[in-house]
Amino acid sequence: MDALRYVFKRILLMIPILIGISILTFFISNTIPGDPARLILGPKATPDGIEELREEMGLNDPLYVQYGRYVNGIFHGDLGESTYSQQPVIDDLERYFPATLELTLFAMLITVLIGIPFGVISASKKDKLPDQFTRVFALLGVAMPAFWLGLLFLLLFYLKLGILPGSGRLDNGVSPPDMITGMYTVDALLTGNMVAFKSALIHLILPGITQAAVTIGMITRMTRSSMLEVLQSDYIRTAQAKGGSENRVLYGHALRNGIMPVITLLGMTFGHALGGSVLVESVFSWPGLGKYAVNAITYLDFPAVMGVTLLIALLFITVNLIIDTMYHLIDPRLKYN
Amino acid sequence: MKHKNLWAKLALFLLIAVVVLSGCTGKYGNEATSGNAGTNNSGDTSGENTDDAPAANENFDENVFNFATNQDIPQLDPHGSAANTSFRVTYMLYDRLVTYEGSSTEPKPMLAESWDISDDNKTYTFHLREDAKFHDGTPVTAEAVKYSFTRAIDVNKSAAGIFKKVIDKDSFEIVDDHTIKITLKKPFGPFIKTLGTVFANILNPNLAENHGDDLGESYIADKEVGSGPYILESWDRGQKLVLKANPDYWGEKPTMETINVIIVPEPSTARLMLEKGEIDMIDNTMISPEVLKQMDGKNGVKVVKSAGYQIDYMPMNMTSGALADKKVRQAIAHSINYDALLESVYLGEADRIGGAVPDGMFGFNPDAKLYDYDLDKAKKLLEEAGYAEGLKLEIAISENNEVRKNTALLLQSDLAKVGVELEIKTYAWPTFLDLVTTGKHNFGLVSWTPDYPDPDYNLWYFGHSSSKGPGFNLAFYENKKVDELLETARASTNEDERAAAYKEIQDIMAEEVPYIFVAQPYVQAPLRDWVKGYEINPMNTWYVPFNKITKAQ
Repeated sequence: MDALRYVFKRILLMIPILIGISILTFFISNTIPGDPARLILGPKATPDGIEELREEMGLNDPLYVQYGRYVNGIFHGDLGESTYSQQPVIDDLERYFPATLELTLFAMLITVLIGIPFGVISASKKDKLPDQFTRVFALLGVAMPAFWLGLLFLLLFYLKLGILPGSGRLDNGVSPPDMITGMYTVDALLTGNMVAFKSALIHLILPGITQAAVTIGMITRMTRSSMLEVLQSDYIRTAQAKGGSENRVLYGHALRNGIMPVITLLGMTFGHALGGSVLVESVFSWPGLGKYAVNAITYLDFPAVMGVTLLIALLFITVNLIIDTMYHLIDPRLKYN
Repeated sequence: MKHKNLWAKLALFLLIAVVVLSGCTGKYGNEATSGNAGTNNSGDTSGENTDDAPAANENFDENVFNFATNQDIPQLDPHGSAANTSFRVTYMLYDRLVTYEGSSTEPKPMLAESWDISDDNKTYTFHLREDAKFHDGTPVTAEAVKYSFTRAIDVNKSAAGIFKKVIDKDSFEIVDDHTIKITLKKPFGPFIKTLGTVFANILNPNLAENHGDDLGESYIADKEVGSGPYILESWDRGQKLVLKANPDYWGEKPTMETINVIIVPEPSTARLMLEKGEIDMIDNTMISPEVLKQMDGKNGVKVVKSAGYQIDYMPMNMTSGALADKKVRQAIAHSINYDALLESVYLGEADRIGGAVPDGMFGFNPDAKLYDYDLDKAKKLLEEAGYAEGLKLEIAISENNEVRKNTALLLQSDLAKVGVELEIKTYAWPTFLDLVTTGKHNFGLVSWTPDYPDPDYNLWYFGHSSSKGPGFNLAFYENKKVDELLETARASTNEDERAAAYKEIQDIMAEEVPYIFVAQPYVQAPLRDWVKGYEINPMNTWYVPFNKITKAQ
């Protein structure tokens, strides 16, 4: 019961946070000098055309009136219409967001599957060869700019070796699976479309690894230091004294305690990856939210800017909530409050 | 006990899966790139990996053209869009009364077989061809022409800019199904030329059924109602737009069966794809001059270049302090090392011009005064104007443009030699646009390509007093004589008379220097050497004649 009440309370708390974010975004983006109407009409527009469009778009109303209109729209499920694409923002988000989410989830999966074992190995073999190896690996991942790494991967795997595709989400000639979640791999699996699944997965590899490179490094290092601390503690010595095998002590006893700070970091990086994947998306022509968001700002497409910001904020908060709930699952001693 | 090293096993499994899966497909990019699964014929892609032999590049498919651009396509309403990346597509989806083909800037008959112009230059009678049909099978009639122009004006966006001044909803008289009379509000010399632009695309009047409350703007944003050589097959926004040849096209049969317009945001990625043969051509605005030089002639890539009507120029805001003085502006014009600029910034791929009318266009004035690079003269002029001990000015540029940034840097060092301290201010595009159209700048750097091939276009924008500020007269230039000449030339259809007026305007503006015309750069398009028949249109630089291009290895 405590758990449910805790989650419910946290969900209620989201409302003021989102309102705050929406106010900030709305007013800050409106302080950018420039005229959205002029940008829609292009440099060759006539002054009276611009004025008429401003009136039509309601840009001549005071900001608080415009904000009120926006919030009112949200309550009717309407995020406004993108001035750039002429499409409802909600449709645009539905179109671009799943691509970003899919890439981010895939990158996080790689991160967890590689980063945590590497960290544990590194800690258990402190200062030995495996530790040195993972240290260099982690440093390389963190130090190499994603953009540059992506181009290197393209040169090697796409141009020279020709074993992996260089851009997009699917091969030319493969049609997307029926839309359920918008994440091609998931949809293809759900509909049993193996051709699309294979194509979508292959296309995820290079951008996924590029995106994961940085986070793998961070997670490895964090797991290592957290594990080192845990491995010093009395209960580990007891476990070892009782004759538990090395793997059982490491993964069964130590990791459970050692993983707490890693989970926090995972939550943070997930949120960061969602909003910050624009460079990776750009190198691999990944049609995600990043490019959409950049376009939205360039063209002062306020409804789109608002939509993207609110969506990312909502996800960030939700992920944090999930992480916080996970603490309690992993460490039952924690109290809900 | 088995699950002890689960993590390690999972990681291993993933790595194996990755390797195996990539091994399965293998030979990436050697598969034929085709528009749909049906034409992906395994017969042509047999054999071993031969990607180092360009002569037998297996991405080659003579019926499919892959075009890459980093400019996302915002929408496809011919009357609402102001983006070149949309024009490239709508020009193929729709027909116009007249059109521009290849490298020509002479309007050629398209939907209109012929036309007559009345003696007072106000009434145009168009005779439409009778075999043209929209993609839904309905014939293209005079009614469609009327509908299209009326909607252009009512939508009141990009297309209205040209037509609102000359026609309104009462300008049309439908004589019969295939004859229409258009009466202009006042004579407008370049009228026929404007009818070949993207804004004059003819739409199926059935669109009216889907007008909703916005004249169908949101309906048509991702659809087409045209009669052109290509049909919109599919469009995954932000990824790929596919055009299919129209099998029932009334005119010459389009050469390419399938056109894929692929969005590749990163120029380096596009370059790799071109070298691999996965794409046939890259948007010419995407790659910087330096990189183009590196690409030309290697890996099966060639760079096609030709003169374009784009001009890069520097407006001098005449309402901002010292620049109000003609002598100061002339001094600036004398202190720029034009040769060095063309050589180092444009790598020689540009010409110098003296006026707002590009070389090659009707009305170009080859004798317009060119200011030579003469520091002594410049210093003397500044002294006469009372700025002997120097002057501080700002130049506004928009970000993410190598050429403009380098030009500004060069100007900075040039002007420093005559005691003018130039501060470079870089702004995001919306801010830049706002700043220069409201006159808060001293200098700016802008590129400009006319929408129709007539001096009226550039000179009216740059020179007429009614265009000041938002109308893109960014020098805020005003001269009664120029206004008068512009108005006379616009009202006339006598080419000699018009040419003479435009020459005179260019001479006056060269003397008063509201603008410095920095360069007329060449259009440079990187493409596969197997692409045949591509010609650059100097005005519609975005134009790719997909319906005429062929591919041959």
